[in-house]
Amino acid sequence: MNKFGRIQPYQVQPREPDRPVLERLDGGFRGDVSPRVAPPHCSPNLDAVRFEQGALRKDFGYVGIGTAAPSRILALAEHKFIDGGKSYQRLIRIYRDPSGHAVLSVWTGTAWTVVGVSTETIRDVYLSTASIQGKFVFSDGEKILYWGEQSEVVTWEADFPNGEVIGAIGETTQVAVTAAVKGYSDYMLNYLVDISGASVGGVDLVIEIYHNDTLLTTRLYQHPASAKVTQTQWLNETYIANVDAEDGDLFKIKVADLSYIGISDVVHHFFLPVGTETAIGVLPVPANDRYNFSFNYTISGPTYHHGEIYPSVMGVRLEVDLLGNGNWVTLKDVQISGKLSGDSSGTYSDHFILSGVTAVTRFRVNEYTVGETGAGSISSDVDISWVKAGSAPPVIMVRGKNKATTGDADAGLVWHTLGFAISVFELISADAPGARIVAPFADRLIGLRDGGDTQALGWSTSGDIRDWVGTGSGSIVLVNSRMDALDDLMGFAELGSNLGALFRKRSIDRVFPTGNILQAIGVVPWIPGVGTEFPFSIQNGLGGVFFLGHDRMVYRLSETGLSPAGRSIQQELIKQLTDNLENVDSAYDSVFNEYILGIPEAGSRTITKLWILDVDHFNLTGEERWRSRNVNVQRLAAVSTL
Amino acid sequence: MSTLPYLPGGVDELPAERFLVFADGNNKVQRFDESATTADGVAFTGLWESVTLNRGSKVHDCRIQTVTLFYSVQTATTLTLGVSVDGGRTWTDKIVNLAATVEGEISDVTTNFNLCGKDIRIRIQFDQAVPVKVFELFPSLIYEGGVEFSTT
Repeated sequence: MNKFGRIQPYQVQPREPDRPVLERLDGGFRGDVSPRVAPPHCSPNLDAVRFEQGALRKDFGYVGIGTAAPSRILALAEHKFIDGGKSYQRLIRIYRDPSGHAVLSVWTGTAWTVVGVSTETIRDVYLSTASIQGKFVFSDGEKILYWGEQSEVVTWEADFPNGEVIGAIGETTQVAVTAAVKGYSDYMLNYLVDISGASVGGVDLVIEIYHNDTLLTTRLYQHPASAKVTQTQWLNETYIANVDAEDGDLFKIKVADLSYIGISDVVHHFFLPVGTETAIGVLPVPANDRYNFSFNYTISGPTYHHGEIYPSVMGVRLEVDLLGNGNWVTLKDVQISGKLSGDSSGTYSDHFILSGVTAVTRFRVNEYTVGETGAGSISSDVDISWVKAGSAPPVIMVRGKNKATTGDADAGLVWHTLGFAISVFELISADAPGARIVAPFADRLIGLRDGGDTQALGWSTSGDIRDWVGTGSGSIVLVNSRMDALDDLMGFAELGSNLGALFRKRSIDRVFPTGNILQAIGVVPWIPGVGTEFPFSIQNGLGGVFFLGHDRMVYRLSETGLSPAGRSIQQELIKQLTDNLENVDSAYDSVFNEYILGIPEAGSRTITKLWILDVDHFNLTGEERWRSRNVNVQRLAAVSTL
Repeated sequence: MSTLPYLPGGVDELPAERFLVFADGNNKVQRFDESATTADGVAFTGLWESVTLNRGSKVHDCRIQTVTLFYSVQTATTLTLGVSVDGGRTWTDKIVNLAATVEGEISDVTTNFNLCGKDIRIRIQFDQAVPVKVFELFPSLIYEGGVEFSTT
């Protein structure tokens, strides 16, 4: 019996297999499943391709920027800062010279220019960098250095006209901007104001300051009420004009208004040295022709004649030459007696009536000795004074300063321009930790891993990244992680103005400003079980922070937690990423929204492959679309300008 | 002038404040340039490989007769189309001539291979300095016949 009798062999006709759908080719790399089961629009092997409109195309090329550095480039980053009201971007590369010093060069648009060589030596490791508070900061695990660039400030001066004084309403004095360069917008005018006079209600002076014909400010100067002539001076007046001025522009000071209520009687003085013949000059004469005169004197002790005592007497004669023609007439002839014991001194006062005084009228005073008595002398100038009732308005004097000719301490106009850039390259502070990683947070600089302590976190004071001991600075050693006996600090990212993510090897902590200046930064555990061993894989991107986890999974971290974004490549990374973990680097393309992860494969010292995630696609659909590019890379960066 | 659709005609760079730069293995800084078709002056090849196309059967050999490629390119060029029937161990490559297309047009070209094996894969090598966009691939696959036994 044929046991196969019921089985009928037959020829199977060829038929078409299940047709793969290859209507799009943009599925990206799939390394987590076999090529036999992966979706047909995906690829198990690709290089230097990108996806566009669902189509496949060759990736972009690249072009060299300047000449090669003489040694390994340890940092490549952009530094942005504001100086003199302008913002600047600098693409910076750092390498070591043969003796180990850091050489910092800047791309000028046409060439790399070395702008600084550090005094300190640095380690031959990828450097952590940060651009904060106008400084470019980097660290190598032993120290934090910074480079800053500030333009040299050039001071320019111009003077008001020598000796030009204004005092009447409507008068102006002016100074011109003379250098054909724009300033800082801080044009400082220097001038002085002098008011003298006597007024029942005081004196109000108003001046105006102009830039060309544009009124910048109005200033009021008040002289107090006084029955006598007094003087008020403002000798160092300044005004800073925040304007954009051009060469030839004028800054003007104008007497805009002058007001006073009533004029007090004015006492005028004419001081006459003894033995001189001095003209009274142009002083106003009294209406009532009455003059007072006074002087101080000293007289020697008494004399003795024939057993009798006689006081010393001094004679003083005051004469006038009314017309200045030598015709002297005695006005007063007085004799003053001393004491009967010892020297004597005092003030003598008297008055006289004299009409017809003019500017050429001269006075003189002489002393003489009376008889055989002792001597006396006038010990001061003779003060001839008189009262002029209500006839003298206050005298105003406004003068712009002149340094060159008048000899003022300041020039009339002082301003500044920006000259050549000054480069500063030094240790950020002797007190700063020997951080391996630096990052900005809450207007502070955060430093991770102080020298050998991989769990130390330090921070500067707020607003001054060079101050690591002042109030508000601090440090903490983050021990007692429940994930690892030594859960090293590996990286930092800002998730928001008040929230930072502190990446450790096996966990992630939340960092926040406490508001308490005694402990300005707080740290609490956040995500256990996932950390990173790749400090330079951390990038802020659309929807969160992207990083390569210690388990070789790429994650997106947001305030709501973690999302895996690297399932397609995790197996590939586990296989290839075996050594030089610190040399993993990354960048974020803000136009195509791609997270770019560079890895050194199979123990290479440099990056050999870039893995590129379409972040837009991932955020919108949750699907991973990875592509790769085999290229030899040391450091990656995204910059604003070239 | 760039031929890339990202950039309008006459624009050589993206009108955005963003450049991707890297330091290469020779300590030279490079930047990715959307209008560059070489890598620092050196030609490079873009590679894409398909997954296994005939995964519907684990029993029968499969024959790939032709591959039709739908593409657009502004300048006539070539690319290298490869087929493997042994899961990527060996490849049969053919150079495919691509005629220029006008913007918005998608053209097609069919290449004959007529190879038979168990694991069919296709690869595309963009080895010319001309950007080509490949929208679709159409492989013509047929299972080879064999003997089956039936109890009916």
